[in-house]
Amino acid sequence: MFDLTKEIKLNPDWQKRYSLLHFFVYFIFLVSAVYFSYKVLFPSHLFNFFFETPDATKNTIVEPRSPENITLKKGNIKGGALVFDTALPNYEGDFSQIRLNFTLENNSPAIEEGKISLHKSYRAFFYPEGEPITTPFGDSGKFPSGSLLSSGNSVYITDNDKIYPIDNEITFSSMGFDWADVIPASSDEIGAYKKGKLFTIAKPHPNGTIFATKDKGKYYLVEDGKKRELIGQPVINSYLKRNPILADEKSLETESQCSLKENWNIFNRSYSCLIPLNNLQSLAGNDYQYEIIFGGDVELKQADATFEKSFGWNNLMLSLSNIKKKIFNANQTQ
Amino acid sequence: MLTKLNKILNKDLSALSYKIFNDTLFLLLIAYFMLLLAEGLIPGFSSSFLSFTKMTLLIFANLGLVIYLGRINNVSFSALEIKKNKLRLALFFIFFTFLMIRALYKFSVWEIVIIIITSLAILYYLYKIRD
Repeated sequence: MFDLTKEIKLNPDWQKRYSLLHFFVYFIFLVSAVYFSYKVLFPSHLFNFFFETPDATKNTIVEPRSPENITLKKGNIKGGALVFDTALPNYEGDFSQIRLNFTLENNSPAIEEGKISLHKSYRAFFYPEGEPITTPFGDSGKFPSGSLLSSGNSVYITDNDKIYPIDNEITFSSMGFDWADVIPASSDEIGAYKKGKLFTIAKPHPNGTIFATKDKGKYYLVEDGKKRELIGQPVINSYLKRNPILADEKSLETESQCSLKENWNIFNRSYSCLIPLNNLQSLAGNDYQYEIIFGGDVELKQADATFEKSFGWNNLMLSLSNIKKKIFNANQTQ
Repeated sequence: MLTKLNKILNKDLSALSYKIFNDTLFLLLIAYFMLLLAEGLIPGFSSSFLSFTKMTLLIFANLGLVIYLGRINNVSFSALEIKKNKLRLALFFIFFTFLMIRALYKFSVWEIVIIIITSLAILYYLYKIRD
Protein backbone atom coordinates (compact mmCIF):
# COMPACT_ATOMS: atom_id res chain seq x y z
CA MET A 1 0.00 0.00 0.00
CA PHE A 2 1.29 3.45 -0.87
CA ASP A 3 3.19 5.70 1.50
CA LEU A 4 1.84 9.26 1.73
CA THR A 5 4.83 10.54 3.70
CA LYS A 6 7.85 9.27 1.77
CA GLU A 7 9.89 12.25 2.93
CA ILE A 8 9.94 10.84 6.50
CA LYS A 9 12.46 8.02 6.62
CA LEU A 10 12.48 5.38 9.37
CA ASN A 11 15.22 2.99 10.33
CA PRO A 12 14.55 -0.68 9.37
CA ASP A 13 13.03 -1.78 12.75
CA TRP A 14 10.65 1.14 12.93
CA GLN A 15 9.88 0.75 9.20
CA LYS A 16 8.68 -2.82 9.93
CA ARG A 17 6.48 -1.54 12.75
CA TYR A 18 5.11 1.15 10.47
CA SER A 19 4.35 -1.39 7.69
CA LEU A 20 2.45 -3.53 10.19
CA LEU A 21 0.47 -0.60 11.58
CA HIS A 22 -0.11 0.75 8.07
CA PHE A 23 -1.61 -2.60 7.00
CA PHE A 24 -3.67 -2.77 10.19
CA VAL A 25 -5.13 0.72 9.65
CA TYR A 26 -6.14 -0.06 6.06
CA PHE A 27 -7.55 -3.42 7.17
CA ILE A 28 -9.68 -1.71 9.84
CA PHE A 29 -10.89 0.80 7.25
CA LEU A 30 -11.84 -1.98 4.85
CA VAL A 31 -13.66 -3.96 7.55
CA SER A 32 -15.52 -0.78 8.65
CA ALA A 33 -16.52 -0.09 5.02
CA VAL A 34 -17.83 -3.64 4.63
CA TYR A 35 -19.69 -3.42 7.98
CA PHE A 36 -21.24 -0.06 7.04
CA SER A 37 -22.30 -1.44 3.65
CA TYR A 38 -23.85 -4.44 5.41
CA LYS A 39 -25.81 -2.14 7.78
CA VAL A 40 -27.02 -0.07 4.81
CA LEU A 41 -27.96 -3.01 2.55
CA PHE A 42 -29.36 -5.24 5.30
CA PRO A 43 -30.75 -2.71 7.76
CA SER A 44 -32.13 -3.79 11.09
CA HIS A 45 -35.13 -2.12 12.72
CA LEU A 46 -34.98 -1.33 16.41
CA PHE A 47 -37.99 -0.87 18.69
CA ASN A 48 -37.59 -0.01 22.34
CA PHE A 49 -39.38 1.10 25.46
CA PHE A 50 -37.90 2.98 28.38
CA PHE A 51 -39.98 2.24 31.47
CA GLU A 52 -38.64 5.32 33.30
CA THR A 53 -40.28 7.56 30.66
CA PRO A 54 -43.35 5.59 29.56
CA ASP A 55 -45.03 8.56 27.85
CA ALA A 56 -42.00 9.65 25.82
CA THR A 57 -42.42 9.74 22.04
CA LYS A 58 -39.09 7.92 21.62
CA ASN A 59 -40.81 4.72 22.84
CA THR A 60 -41.59 2.67 19.75
CA ILE A 61 -42.79 -0.52 21.42
CA VAL A 62 -46.57 -0.26 21.60
CA GLU A 63 -48.52 -0.38 24.88
CA PRO A 64 -46.74 -2.71 27.29
CA ARG A 65 -49.59 -4.20 29.30
CA SER A 66 -50.62 -7.13 31.43
CA PRO A 67 -52.39 -10.11 29.82
CA GLU A 68 -55.63 -8.58 31.25
CA ASN A 69 -55.01 -5.51 29.06
CA ILE A 70 -54.07 -3.18 31.90
CA THR A 71 -51.53 -0.68 30.54
CA LEU A 72 -48.27 -0.68 32.46
CA LYS A 73 -46.91 2.76 33.17
CA LYS A 74 -43.75 1.68 34.95
CA GLY A 75 -41.56 -1.41 34.66
CA ASN A 76 -42.96 -3.04 37.75
CA ILE A 77 -44.26 -6.34 36.32
CA LYS A 78 -46.46 -7.94 38.98
CA GLY A 79 -47.41 -11.52 38.29
CA GLY A 80 -44.51 -11.89 35.90
CA ALA A 81 -46.39 -11.57 32.58
CA LEU A 82 -46.10 -8.87 29.93
CA VAL A 83 -47.66 -8.27 26.52
CA PHE A 84 -46.63 -5.66 23.95
CA ASP A 85 -46.65 -5.06 20.20
CA THR A 86 -44.33 -3.76 17.52
CA ALA A 87 -45.71 -2.44 14.20
CA LEU A 88 -43.47 -2.89 11.17
CA PRO A 89 -43.83 -1.06 7.83
CA ASN A 90 -44.51 -3.48 4.98
CA TYR A 91 -41.88 -2.08 2.58
CA GLU A 92 -38.94 -3.24 4.70
CA GLY A 93 -38.86 -6.76 3.34
CA ASP A 94 -38.35 -10.01 5.20
CA PHE A 95 -36.60 -10.08 8.52
CA SER A 96 -35.17 -13.39 9.58
CA GLN A 97 -35.17 -13.00 13.38
CA ILE A 98 -35.90 -10.69 16.27
CA ARG A 99 -33.34 -10.10 18.99
CA LEU A 100 -35.22 -9.37 22.23
CA ASN A 101 -33.42 -7.79 25.15
CA PHE A 102 -34.70 -6.83 28.62
CA THR A 103 -32.66 -4.66 30.97
CA LEU A 104 -33.56 -4.99 34.63
CA GLU A 105 -33.42 -2.40 37.41
CA ASN A 106 -30.58 -3.02 39.87
CA ASN A 107 -32.95 -4.05 42.65
CA SER A 108 -35.08 -6.35 40.48
CA PRO A 109 -35.35 -10.08 41.21
CA ALA A 110 -33.77 -12.28 38.56
CA ILE A 111 -35.89 -13.65 35.70
CA GLU A 112 -36.78 -17.22 36.61
CA GLU A 113 -38.50 -18.43 33.46
CA GLY A 114 -38.28 -15.97 30.56
CA LYS A 115 -40.48 -17.67 27.93
CA ILE A 116 -41.56 -15.57 24.96
CA SER A 117 -44.16 -16.39 22.32
CA LEU A 118 -44.70 -14.25 19.27
CA HIS A 119 -47.67 -13.96 16.93
CA LYS A 120 -48.07 -11.91 13.75
CA SER A 121 -51.23 -10.36 12.32
CA TYR A 122 -53.01 -7.00 12.51
CA ARG A 123 -53.44 -5.60 16.00
CA ALA A 124 -57.23 -5.46 15.73
CA PHE A 125 -57.30 -9.05 14.49
CA PHE A 126 -55.90 -10.12 17.87
CA TYR A 127 -59.07 -8.79 19.54
CA PRO A 128 -61.17 -11.45 21.27
CA GLU A 129 -64.17 -12.74 19.38
CA GLY A 130 -67.48 -11.06 20.18
CA GLU A 131 -71.06 -12.07 19.48
CA PRO A 132 -71.55 -12.97 15.79
CA ILE A 133 -73.68 -10.67 13.62
CA THR A 134 -76.64 -12.33 11.95
CA THR A 135 -78.66 -9.29 10.79
CA PRO A 136 -77.77 -7.22 7.74
CA PHE A 137 -76.26 -3.75 8.16
CA GLY A 138 -78.69 -0.84 8.38
CA ASP A 139 -78.14 2.58 6.86
CA SER A 140 -75.77 4.65 9.03
CA GLY A 141 -75.38 7.67 6.76
CA LYS A 142 -73.08 8.50 3.89
CA PHE A 143 -69.85 7.29 5.47
CA PRO A 144 -70.08 4.28 7.79
CA SER A 145 -67.42 3.82 10.48
CA GLY A 146 -64.11 2.65 9.02
CA SER A 147 -64.51 4.67 5.79
CA LEU A 148 -61.45 6.13 4.08
CA LEU A 149 -62.00 9.76 3.05
CA SER A 150 -59.75 12.12 1.14
CA SER A 151 -59.67 15.89 1.21
CA GLY A 152 -56.86 17.83 -0.46
CA ASN A 153 -53.65 15.85 -0.02
CA SER A 154 -54.81 14.08 3.15
CA VAL A 155 -56.51 10.76 3.69
CA TYR A 156 -58.61 10.17 6.79
CA ILE A 157 -60.25 7.19 8.45
CA THR A 158 -63.52 7.45 10.34
CA ASP A 159 -64.33 5.78 13.64
CA ASN A 160 -67.96 6.46 14.59
CA ASP A 161 -68.11 10.27 15.12
CA LYS A 162 -64.34 10.79 15.02
CA ILE A 163 -61.99 11.18 12.08
CA TYR A 164 -58.24 10.50 12.09
CA PRO A 165 -55.74 11.74 9.49
CA ILE A 166 -53.48 8.92 8.26
CA ASP A 167 -49.88 10.05 8.78
CA ASN A 168 -48.33 8.75 5.54
CA GLU A 169 -48.69 6.29 2.65
CA ILE A 170 -46.47 3.74 4.39
CA THR A 171 -49.06 3.47 7.18
CA PHE A 172 -51.82 3.29 4.57
CA SER A 173 -50.32 0.36 2.70
CA SER A 174 -48.96 -1.42 5.81
CA MET A 175 -52.46 -1.49 7.31
CA GLY A 176 -53.79 -3.31 4.23
CA PHE A 177 -55.97 -0.45 2.98
CA ASP A 178 -56.84 -0.17 -0.72
CA TRP A 179 -56.56 3.15 -2.59
CA ALA A 180 -59.70 2.19 -4.55
CA ASP A 181 -61.68 2.49 -1.29
CA VAL A 182 -60.75 6.13 -0.68
CA ILE A 183 -63.80 8.39 -1.10
CA PRO A 184 -63.31 12.09 -1.94
CA ALA A 185 -65.06 14.25 0.65
CA SER A 186 -65.61 17.98 0.96
CA SER A 187 -64.10 19.99 3.82
CA ASP A 188 -67.64 20.39 5.25
CA GLU A 189 -68.10 16.62 5.34
CA ILE A 190 -64.67 16.21 7.02
CA GLY A 191 -65.51 19.07 9.40
CA ALA A 192 -68.67 17.27 10.57
CA TYR A 193 -66.46 14.78 12.44
CA LYS A 194 -64.47 15.36 15.64
CA LYS A 195 -60.82 15.41 14.61
CA GLY A 196 -58.66 12.84 16.40
CA LYS A 197 -54.87 12.43 16.60
CA LEU A 198 -52.78 11.10 13.73
CA PHE A 199 -53.51 7.52 12.70
CA THR A 200 -50.08 5.90 12.77
CA ILE A 201 -48.83 2.44 11.92
CA ALA A 202 -48.95 1.50 15.60
CA LYS A 203 -52.70 2.12 15.92
CA PRO A 204 -55.23 -0.73 15.65
CA HIS A 205 -57.82 -0.66 12.88
CA PRO A 206 -60.85 1.40 13.96
CA ASN A 207 -64.46 0.34 14.46
CA GLY A 208 -66.16 -0.62 11.22
CA THR A 209 -63.13 -2.33 9.73
CA ILE A 210 -63.90 -5.63 8.02
CA PHE A 211 -61.34 -8.43 8.08
CA ALA A 212 -61.58 -11.34 5.64
CA THR A 213 -59.56 -14.46 6.41
CA LYS A 214 -57.84 -15.92 3.36
CA ASP A 215 -57.58 -19.44 4.75
CA LYS A 216 -61.07 -19.97 6.19
CA GLY A 217 -63.11 -17.44 4.19
CA LYS A 218 -64.64 -15.82 7.28
CA TYR A 219 -65.51 -12.15 7.69
CA TYR A 220 -65.18 -10.18 10.92
CA LEU A 221 -66.30 -6.70 11.92
CA VAL A 222 -64.18 -4.73 14.39
CA GLU A 223 -66.38 -3.18 17.05
CA ASP A 224 -65.48 -1.83 20.51
CA GLY A 225 -62.40 -3.93 21.10
CA LYS A 226 -63.88 -7.16 19.73
CA LYS A 227 -64.10 -8.84 16.35
CA ARG A 228 -67.57 -10.09 15.47
CA GLU A 229 -68.03 -12.72 12.79
CA LEU A 230 -70.48 -11.89 10.01
CA ILE A 231 -72.74 -14.89 9.44
CA GLY A 232 -74.50 -15.42 6.12
CA GLN A 233 -73.88 -13.98 2.67
CA PRO A 234 -76.65 -11.29 2.87
CA VAL A 235 -75.10 -10.02 6.12
CA ILE A 236 -71.60 -10.06 4.60
CA ASN A 237 -72.78 -8.25 1.45
CA SER A 238 -74.55 -5.58 3.52
CA TYR A 239 -71.37 -4.79 5.48
CA LEU A 240 -68.91 -5.09 2.61
CA LYS A 241 -69.01 -1.50 1.27
CA ARG A 242 -65.27 -1.58 0.57
CA ASN A 243 -62.46 -4.11 0.19
CA PRO A 244 -61.89 -6.04 3.43
CA ILE A 245 -58.50 -6.22 5.08
CA LEU A 246 -57.06 -9.65 4.31
CA ALA A 247 -55.88 -11.59 7.34
CA ASP A 248 -54.96 -15.20 8.19
CA GLU A 249 -56.99 -17.16 10.70
CA LYS A 250 -53.96 -19.35 11.40
CA SER A 251 -51.99 -16.28 12.56
CA LEU A 252 -53.76 -16.67 15.92
CA GLU A 253 -52.33 -20.17 16.39
CA THR A 254 -48.99 -19.92 14.60
CA GLU A 255 -46.31 -18.70 16.94
CA SER A 256 -42.59 -18.50 17.33
CA GLN A 257 -40.83 -18.90 20.67
CA CYS A 258 -37.60 -18.35 22.53
CA SER A 259 -36.29 -18.48 26.11
CA LEU A 260 -34.49 -15.60 27.75
CA LYS A 261 -30.90 -16.12 28.88
CA GLU A 262 -28.86 -13.82 31.06
CA ASN A 263 -26.26 -11.74 29.21
CA TRP A 264 -22.71 -11.34 30.34
CA ASN A 265 -22.71 -7.59 30.90
CA ILE A 266 -20.77 -5.75 33.60
CA PHE A 267 -22.74 -2.51 33.19
CA ASN A 268 -26.28 -3.75 33.71
CA ARG A 269 -28.38 -6.84 34.24
CA SER A 270 -29.99 -7.95 31.02
CA TYR A 271 -31.54 -10.99 29.40
CA SER A 272 -31.97 -11.70 25.72
CA CYS A 273 -33.01 -14.29 23.15
CA LEU A 274 -33.44 -14.70 19.41
CA ILE A 275 -36.85 -15.47 17.91
CA PRO A 276 -36.81 -16.93 14.38
CA LEU A 277 -39.39 -15.52 11.97
CA ASN A 278 -39.48 -18.12 9.17
CA ASN A 279 -42.89 -19.56 10.11
CA LEU A 280 -44.45 -16.11 10.49
CA GLN A 281 -43.15 -14.38 7.34
CA SER A 282 -45.98 -15.53 5.05
CA LEU A 283 -48.75 -14.38 7.44
CA ALA A 284 -50.65 -11.19 6.65
CA GLY A 285 -50.32 -8.23 9.00
CA ASN A 286 -47.84 -5.66 10.25
CA ASP A 287 -48.21 -6.23 13.99
CA TYR A 288 -46.04 -8.54 16.07
CA GLN A 289 -47.52 -9.36 19.46
CA TYR A 290 -45.22 -10.64 22.18
CA GLU A 291 -46.30 -12.52 25.30
CA ILE A 292 -43.58 -12.81 27.89
CA ILE A 293 -43.77 -15.01 30.97
CA PHE A 294 -41.09 -13.99 33.47
CA GLY A 295 -42.10 -16.54 36.10
CA GLY A 296 -42.14 -13.99 38.93
CA ASP A 297 -42.22 -10.26 39.69
CA VAL A 298 -39.57 -8.23 37.87
CA GLU A 299 -38.63 -4.55 37.62
CA LEU A 300 -37.83 -3.67 34.02
CA LYS A 301 -35.78 -0.67 32.98
CA GLN A 302 -35.84 -1.14 29.23
CA ALA A 303 -37.13 -3.50 26.55
CA ASP A 304 -35.60 -3.74 23.06
CA ALA A 305 -36.73 -5.67 19.98
CA THR A 306 -34.37 -5.58 16.99
CA PHE A 307 -35.59 -7.01 13.70
CA GLU A 308 -32.59 -8.43 11.84
CA LYS A 309 -32.36 -9.36 8.17
CA SER A 310 -30.81 -12.43 6.68
CA PHE A 311 -27.95 -12.05 4.25
CA GLY A 312 -29.59 -12.98 0.94
CA TRP A 313 -30.15 -12.00 -2.69
CA ASN A 314 -33.81 -10.98 -2.27
CA ASN A 315 -33.10 -8.65 0.65
CA LEU A 316 -30.13 -7.16 -1.21
CA MET A 317 -32.28 -6.44 -4.31
CA LEU A 318 -35.02 -4.94 -2.12
CA SER A 319 -32.53 -2.64 -0.35
CA LEU A 320 -31.06 -1.48 -3.67
CA SER A 321 -34.56 -0.89 -5.00
CA ASN A 322 -35.46 1.17 -1.90
CA ILE A 323 -32.25 3.21 -2.29
CA LYS A 324 -33.09 3.87 -5.96
CA LYS A 325 -36.62 4.97 -4.99
CA LYS A 326 -35.21 7.33 -2.35
CA ILE A 327 -32.87 8.92 -4.92
CA PHE A 328 -35.73 9.58 -7.33
CA ASN A 329 -38.13 10.68 -4.56
CA ALA A 330 -35.49 13.06 -3.18
CA ASN A 331 -35.21 14.62 -6.64
CA GLN A 332 -38.96 15.11 -6.85
CA THR A 333 -39.81 16.29 -3.36
CA GLN A 334 -36.72 18.29 -2.26
CA MET B 1 2.15 19.21 29.17
CA LEU B 2 3.39 19.55 25.58
CA THR B 3 7.06 19.63 26.68
CA LYS B 4 6.49 16.42 28.65
CA LEU B 5 4.89 14.88 25.59
CA ASN B 6 7.79 16.02 23.43
CA LYS B 7 10.21 14.28 25.79
CA ILE B 8 8.21 11.04 25.63
CA LEU B 9 8.06 11.12 21.85
CA ASN B 10 11.49 10.15 20.69
CA LYS B 11 12.48 10.79 17.09
CA ASP B 12 11.44 7.38 15.76
CA LEU B 13 8.14 7.19 17.65
CA SER B 14 7.14 10.69 16.56
CA ALA B 15 8.04 9.89 12.95
CA LEU B 16 6.03 6.66 13.06
CA SER B 17 3.08 8.45 14.68
CA TYR B 18 3.22 11.21 12.05
CA LYS B 19 3.12 8.66 9.22
CA ILE B 20 0.26 6.66 10.77
CA PHE B 21 -1.88 9.70 11.55
CA ASN B 22 -1.35 10.87 7.99
CA ASP B 23 -2.75 7.54 6.82
CA THR B 24 -5.73 7.76 9.16
CA LEU B 25 -6.42 11.34 8.03
CA PHE B 26 -6.36 10.25 4.40
CA LEU B 27 -8.79 7.38 5.06
CA LEU B 28 -11.09 9.57 7.16
CA LEU B 29 -11.25 12.12 4.34
CA ILE B 30 -12.10 9.40 1.81
CA ALA B 31 -14.86 8.12 4.10
CA TYR B 32 -16.12 11.69 4.63
CA PHE B 33 -16.18 12.31 0.88
CA MET B 34 -18.15 9.09 0.19
CA LEU B 35 -20.66 9.80 2.97
CA LEU B 36 -21.13 13.38 1.75
CA LEU B 37 -21.72 12.10 -1.77
CA ALA B 38 -24.34 9.63 -0.49
CA GLU B 39 -25.95 12.40 1.60
CA GLY B 40 -26.04 14.62 -1.49
CA LEU B 41 -27.84 11.91 -3.47
CA ILE B 42 -30.26 10.92 -0.72
CA PRO B 43 -30.69 13.53 2.04
CA GLY B 44 -30.69 11.82 5.40
CA PHE B 45 -29.07 8.62 4.09
CA SER B 46 -25.68 8.96 5.81
CA SER B 47 -26.80 11.18 8.69
CA SER B 48 -29.25 8.49 9.84
CA PHE B 49 -26.29 6.16 10.48
CA LEU B 50 -23.71 8.53 11.91
CA SER B 51 -23.12 12.11 12.97
CA PHE B 52 -21.32 14.43 10.53
CA THR B 53 -20.49 16.74 13.44
CA LYS B 54 -18.62 14.00 15.28
CA MET B 55 -16.85 12.96 12.10
CA THR B 56 -15.79 16.54 11.37
CA LEU B 57 -14.45 16.90 14.91
CA LEU B 58 -12.57 13.61 14.55
CA ILE B 59 -10.98 14.79 11.29
CA PHE B 60 -9.95 18.10 12.85
CA ALA B 61 -8.50 16.28 15.87
CA ASN B 62 -6.53 13.99 13.53
CA LEU B 63 -5.40 17.03 11.54
CA GLY B 64 -4.25 18.71 14.74
CA LEU B 65 -2.16 15.66 15.61
CA VAL B 66 -0.63 15.59 12.11
CA ILE B 67 0.35 19.27 12.38
CA TYR B 68 1.78 18.82 15.90
CA LEU B 69 3.75 15.71 14.96
CA GLY B 70 4.82 17.34 11.68
CA ARG B 71 6.36 20.25 13.59
CA ILE B 72 8.30 17.83 15.80
CA ASN B 73 9.62 16.13 12.64
CA ASN B 74 10.42 19.47 10.95
CA VAL B 75 7.85 18.94 8.22
CA SER B 76 6.98 22.12 6.35
CA PHE B 77 3.32 22.62 5.50
CA SER B 78 3.29 24.80 2.43
CA ALA B 79 0.23 25.83 0.44
CA LEU B 80 -0.61 23.70 -2.58
CA GLU B 81 0.52 25.12 -5.89
CA ILE B 82 -2.34 25.34 -8.36
CA LYS B 83 -0.16 24.41 -11.35
CA LYS B 84 1.00 21.16 -9.71
CA ASN B 85 -2.45 20.13 -8.40
CA LYS B 86 -4.76 20.77 -11.34
CA LEU B 87 -6.30 17.30 -11.24
CA ARG B 88 -7.11 17.52 -7.52
CA LEU B 89 -8.59 20.98 -7.97
CA ALA B 90 -10.65 19.84 -10.95
CA LEU B 91 -12.04 16.86 -8.98
CA PHE B 92 -12.80 19.08 -6.00
CA PHE B 93 -14.56 21.60 -8.25
CA ILE B 94 -16.70 18.87 -9.87
CA PHE B 95 -17.68 17.46 -6.47
CA PHE B 96 -18.42 20.95 -5.13
CA THR B 97 -20.56 21.75 -8.19
CA PHE B 98 -22.52 18.51 -7.77
CA LEU B 99 -23.29 19.34 -4.12
CA MET B 100 -24.29 22.89 -5.02
CA ILE B 101 -26.61 21.76 -7.82
CA ARG B 102 -28.13 19.17 -5.52
CA ALA B 103 -28.66 21.75 -2.78
CA LEU B 104 -30.11 24.43 -5.07
CA TYR B 105 -32.08 22.06 -7.34
CA LYS B 106 -35.56 23.02 -6.19
CA PHE B 107 -35.02 26.75 -5.59
CA SER B 108 -36.39 29.28 -8.05
CA VAL B 109 -34.01 31.03 -10.50
CA TRP B 110 -34.03 34.30 -8.54
CA GLU B 111 -33.29 32.52 -5.27
CA ILE B 112 -30.36 30.66 -6.89
CA VAL B 113 -28.95 33.92 -8.26
CA ILE B 114 -29.18 35.64 -4.85
CA ILE B 115 -27.62 32.68 -3.02
CA ILE B 116 -24.71 32.42 -5.49
CA ILE B 117 -24.00 36.15 -5.50
CA THR B 118 -24.10 36.31 -1.69
CA SER B 119 -21.83 33.24 -1.36
CA LEU B 120 -19.30 34.63 -3.88
CA ALA B 121 -19.31 37.99 -2.08
CA ILE B 122 -18.56 36.29 1.26
CA LEU B 123 -15.77 34.18 -0.30
CA TYR B 124 -14.26 37.27 -1.93
CA TYR B 125 -14.36 39.13 1.39
CA LEU B 126 -12.69 36.21 3.19
CA TYR B 127 -10.00 36.09 0.46
CA LYS B 128 -9.33 39.82 0.85
CA ILE B 129 -8.99 39.74 4.64
CA ARG B 130 -6.89 36.53 4.78
CA ASP B 131 -3.69 38.45 5.47
